[in-house]
Amino acid sequence: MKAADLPQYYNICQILEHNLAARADKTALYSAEGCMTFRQAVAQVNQVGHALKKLDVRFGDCVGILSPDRAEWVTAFFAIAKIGATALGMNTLLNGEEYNYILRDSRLRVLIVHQSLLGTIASIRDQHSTLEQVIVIGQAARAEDRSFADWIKNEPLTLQAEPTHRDDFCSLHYSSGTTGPPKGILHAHKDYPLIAQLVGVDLFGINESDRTFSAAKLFFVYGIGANLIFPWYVGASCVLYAGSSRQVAGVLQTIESFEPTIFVGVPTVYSAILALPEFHQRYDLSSLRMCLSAGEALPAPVWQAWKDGTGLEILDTIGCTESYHTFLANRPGTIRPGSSGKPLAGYEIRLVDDDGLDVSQGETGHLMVKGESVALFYLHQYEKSRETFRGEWLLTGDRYYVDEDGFYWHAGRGDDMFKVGGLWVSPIEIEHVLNTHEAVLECAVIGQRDHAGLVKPKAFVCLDHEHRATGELLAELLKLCVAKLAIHKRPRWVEFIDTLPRTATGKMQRFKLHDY
Amino acid sequence: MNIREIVQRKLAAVVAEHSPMPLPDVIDDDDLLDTFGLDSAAFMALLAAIEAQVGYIPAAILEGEVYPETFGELVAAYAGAHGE
Repeated sequence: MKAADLPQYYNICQILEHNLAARADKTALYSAEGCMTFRQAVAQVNQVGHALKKLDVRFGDCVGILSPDRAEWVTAFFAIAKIGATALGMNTLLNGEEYNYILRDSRLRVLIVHQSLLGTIASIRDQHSTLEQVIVIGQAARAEDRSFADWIKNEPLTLQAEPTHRDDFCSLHYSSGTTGPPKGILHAHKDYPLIAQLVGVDLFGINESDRTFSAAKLFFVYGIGANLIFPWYVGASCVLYAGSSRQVAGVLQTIESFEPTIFVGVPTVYSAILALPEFHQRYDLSSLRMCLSAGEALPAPVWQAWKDGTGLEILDTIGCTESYHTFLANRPGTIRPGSSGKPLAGYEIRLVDDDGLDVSQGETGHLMVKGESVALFYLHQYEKSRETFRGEWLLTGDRYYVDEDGFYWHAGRGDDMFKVGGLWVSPIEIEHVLNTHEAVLECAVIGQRDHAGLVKPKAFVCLDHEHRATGELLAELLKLCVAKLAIHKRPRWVEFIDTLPRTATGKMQRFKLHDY
Repeated sequence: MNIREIVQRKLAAVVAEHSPMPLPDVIDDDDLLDTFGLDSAAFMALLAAIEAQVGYIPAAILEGEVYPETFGELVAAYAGAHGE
């Protein structure tokens, strides 16, 4: 499938609405909070669309969604796209400073936020004159805010979609940067059917009888792709879980209760499930026919333990926000545990050296990808865009090598970023927090593998001459991290050392810390 | 040994294995489990360790209805389930 195969004027609400003809009363969405048929989903999308138009939301305006995975998240997303606006699914794990940046950078006009997350934006929302209206899923806390249910309840059930061009942007996603602020990545209407066909259908073979469930949340492209776009594109159903993916028992219970056929996880979730002895005896997982993983490399022992426990092979894949979804994947029956698999049809891969020349098979190189779902630029980041988007090719920042059978193996990053639980972590952010403690002279953070083979932050700390490494000081540093950093960014290990490794010119050699 | 002491002892063992955080001598009911550095895998390991001694994991935790955020909530989940 190519983008040119789509109608020139195309809106992604088609992914939902094509189901009206064949399966309007089929359950489209399952969740503990309630279920929704395709007919009900379309009706609520249309109501939200009308309500947004009454707020004067227009073509190209940005509307944010900050909520756990719930039906309102889904209907808001399609409604925003249907009226030609741009949907911003916001990460629920960010801090006030990051939300502040995103609200400013996106020029968000309307924010649809769940009541449980109002506190995260309370201190910054008034700083943004562009933010005109806050809609609360649940109970509104301020008089000027409106509750989602009241906001849409009298709106019409039908709505004409805006005649968007397939190349018009319909969604904005933010991905963490190494040193600077998050990077805004815009995706077009065309990208959604493309990934649904190339990844969902052609690669994973999702069909109408499937029911997907993802521990990765909808605000991740991996989550929304696999657990909303893919299933609805083929008339299948999805299961939403509003709890945190850290609540592993809740994840397992959701599988038992709603019987998905496809489970979409990340290595951290698989590893946490495996930490519960006899998990496959405690929970009925027999509905599952396929398990997927992405976000970070899946350690081979985790893959094997999952297969031993469930009989199911996890298909490890890699994609990125810039490409929207998967471009390398293991296929059923041809899995090489620990590898990222092979390129998908519709995507080309290159491994190049520092000069941009292709490396030989077996040599490590910078991973570049080309495909029609790849974004065009980073919003308001010209220099970073020039570094990353090189003509038709995207420089991913990952380093890979390919074996003699054509399987790709992750070999680290070209920068200092690493992923924990599928989430990007910048060591510099953690170092900034540790450096605010009076005892810290300097510090450095790297990603180090734990006993399960998963990467976690490790901090190396040099103290000034007035402080000594004690248990009390260690506790102070960790409490500082608890107060300032999301849990996946907090150091798993802290090692006190005398000096950091540096070059003769004083540049820190972070890579040498891996040998400490 | 009562359930609170068992939970605290197992928590200390799991924290020692999974976290750099030195466990304080005195733990308050309001202390967040997050502050001890317990991620999802460590939390599941804690449940397994307690089960090995007391023979059960509270149904409310297994069914996803309760996810203890504090030490007190964790103890309460076990205390409440003890008579089931």
